[in-house]
Amino acid sequence: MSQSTEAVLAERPRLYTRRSSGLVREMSGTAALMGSVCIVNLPIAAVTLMLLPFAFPGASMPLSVLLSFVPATILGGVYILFGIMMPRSGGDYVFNGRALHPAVGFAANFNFVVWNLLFAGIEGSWIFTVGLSGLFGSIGALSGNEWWTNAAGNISQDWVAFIGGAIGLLVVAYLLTNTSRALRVMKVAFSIGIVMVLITVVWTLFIGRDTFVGNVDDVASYSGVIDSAAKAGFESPPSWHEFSPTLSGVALVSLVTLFVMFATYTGGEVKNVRRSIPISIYGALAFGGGVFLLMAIAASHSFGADFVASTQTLAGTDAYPFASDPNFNFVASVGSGSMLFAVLINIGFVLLMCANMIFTQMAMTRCIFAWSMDRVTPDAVSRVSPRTHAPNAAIAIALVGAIIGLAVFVFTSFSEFLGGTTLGFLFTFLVTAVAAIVFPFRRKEIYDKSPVKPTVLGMPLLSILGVLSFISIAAIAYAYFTNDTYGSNTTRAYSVFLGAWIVGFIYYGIARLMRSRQGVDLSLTSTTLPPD
Amino acid sequence: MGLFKRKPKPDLRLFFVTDVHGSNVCFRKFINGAKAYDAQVLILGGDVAGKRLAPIVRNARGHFEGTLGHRTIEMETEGELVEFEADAGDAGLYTYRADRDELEAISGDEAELEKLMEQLAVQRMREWLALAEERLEGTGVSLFVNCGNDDPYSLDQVVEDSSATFLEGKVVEVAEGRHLASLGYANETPWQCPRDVPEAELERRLETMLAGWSDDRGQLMFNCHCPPHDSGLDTAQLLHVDHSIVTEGGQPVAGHVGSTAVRSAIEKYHPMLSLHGHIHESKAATKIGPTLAINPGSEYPEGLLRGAVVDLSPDGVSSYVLTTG
Repeated sequence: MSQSTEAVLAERPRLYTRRSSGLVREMSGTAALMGSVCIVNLPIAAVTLMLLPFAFPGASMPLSVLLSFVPATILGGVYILFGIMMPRSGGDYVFNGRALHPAVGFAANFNFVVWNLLFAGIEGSWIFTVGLSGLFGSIGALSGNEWWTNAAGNISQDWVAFIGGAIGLLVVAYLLTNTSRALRVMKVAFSIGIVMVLITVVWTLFIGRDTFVGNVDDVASYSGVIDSAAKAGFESPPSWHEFSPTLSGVALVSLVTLFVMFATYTGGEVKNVRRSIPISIYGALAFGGGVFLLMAIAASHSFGADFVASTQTLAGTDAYPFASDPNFNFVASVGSGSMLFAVLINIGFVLLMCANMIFTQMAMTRCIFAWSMDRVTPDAVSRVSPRTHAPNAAIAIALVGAIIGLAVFVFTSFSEFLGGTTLGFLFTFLVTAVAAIVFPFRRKEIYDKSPVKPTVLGMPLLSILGVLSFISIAAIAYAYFTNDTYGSNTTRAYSVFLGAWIVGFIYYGIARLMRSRQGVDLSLTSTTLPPD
Repeated sequence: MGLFKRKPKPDLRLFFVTDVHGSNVCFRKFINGAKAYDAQVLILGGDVAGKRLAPIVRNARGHFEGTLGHRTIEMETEGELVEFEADAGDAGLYTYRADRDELEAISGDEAELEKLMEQLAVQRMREWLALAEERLEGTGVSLFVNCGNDDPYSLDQVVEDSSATFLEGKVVEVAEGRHLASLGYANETPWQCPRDVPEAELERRLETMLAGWSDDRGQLMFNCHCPPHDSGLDTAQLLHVDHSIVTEGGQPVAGHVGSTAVRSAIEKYHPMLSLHGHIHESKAATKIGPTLAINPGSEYPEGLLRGAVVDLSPDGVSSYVLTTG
């Protein structure tokens, strides 16, 4: 027996722990929180926020962002409860596989991984086309130096974006071969980046409309942009606080806030899951969502929704007076009138993109790793480096997937690819919502033994949150199905959406058949043993 | 590609679990696994004893109170007490009903507390083995049990006295022509557990056990609680002697904490299968030369039973699946 005991709790009847070896998880709650905050994707916020008044004239930017917290909070609750009940790496792959069927769990997770790998590729290119182009373009605009202006255009060329993005993805893959190092870089990049962005967002808010207009007028013409957009066909709405477009816009900005549940993908590595997972998910929504809301207020207050919608109307046409696309970072840089703020916000966003790519790719490698541990994919995929303990094969697969996504995004006009896969991940969330609804009843033996199983009026909170998640995610999916703006309601997008699901199911079926020929019964991995 | 390789037909299925640490539900699932997985041989690796004691104390209102997780629960009826004890037992905790004076006396005496926990561990082990005997009788399923570095020595005799086969330090024929060599001791940990020994002692124990081994006797398997060093089955956070986490640049540092002696034995004797535990968070399967080495990991606090279902054929290991039941 042990040499000593320790009292864990004082005052109340105490738990006594004898000295014994035990589980030590690697990821701290802070790292999980930071990872989830990184996933509140502020770089994508820089793009989608500025699209909102253009795509949904009359929408209130701050209110749409605020409303996007509702589905994120509800869905986050589902992932929190599942993450505590089943604290293993792999997230919804584990939950859905257990609650519904392993094939459903795999197909749903396969979709989510495909979308995220694609997005990692897109983000790789954005470092150049959004971040660095914004930096060079704003320096050119503020200094009047044409070299920077030309550089902003050159750096957005397809081949530059592809090669640069691929290098960025390679660097991320290299960092991931050592988890500690990757997390360290992520923390540093995020910490510096968020401070830079916050300073500039607050400054943008502080200077107000008049100073912003004055600064823009030094470079182009604020009213000229609005007039040109009107001539190009943009009709300014009577008000920028209309309910219907505001609600419609929630689906767009939810792309930023819905992903706070990422901590559950690394759940097997997070310490003290009961505390860390809720803090990381809701803390991320509060902090990351809060910054997003500040951005929306700043854009609405200082840029003006008419100006934002007008820049989007003119972007890509000869009438567009700027060197870079009208993303938040670029517009804020020009409007700040300050080289210092231009550098801060653009470098800040580049750093946030890097941090986001690291955590996204890390989470996806954990999913790919989990498939292999369950023997759905070849055993080699779950081999880890003896030196660094990193799942190198899974990292390589994630890298290849992201580079394919990057190539599709940069070299083709296949924008429906993004729309189709967006539907794909929304359906992963829908499946998770269904899993939450049925789990307390279908897998009662696991649910009853769960350390956390709150009820409301006698009904499991997990099921209630599942119902609410289903309704809110279905509403978002409906917007993607019915609104042309999203580019998801085309035959090609549907092909990608359905194709990814079908590939997931077919792959699982083939793997199960092949493993069966080897005498490996994949159903055993998720067979729940009778507990009595 | 491993995915497409056809393997010979198996003729024996093992179900191996480890590090259940006193969890009643995990043990019951383990026994039920024989039927659910159609296994003929059940192997319980080491670390069967629980780590914590949850006293149940009468309060000023005459009700009982007990702490589970971070919650203190007040119980009025015997039914509530039984439910509390069942929940605690499933999480691997021992419970003990006492009045406040008795508890204060015990908690002030470390040796008494140790003795009490050991008694409760022995009692639970007896209950488990009785349950196993009842459920496995007439099924043709064989049960093999070993202790691990965390387990008190008094559990050895409990297993010896049961219908299960105690494995420590022996090469046991688990089925015709299939031999299992077992060692529950581990290399030294920061916690200085009962069966922590230096690597040299581990090597001596392994060599003593395997001294008479000859390949003519059939197929050899290992069941060493401690995983082999630098195998991917032994990755854990590195700790200082005072149990604080080793960090580098603010990040925890992971390292290989397995045994070099176990690894050397695997490389010397080439068992077809090597089963391990000890490092709960290092669930993995790997090849060391021709040996398939497995650590199914452990999630006993959540009532989840991690295990490995392994099919054997006359050629060796036919297939395996890591399970979470």
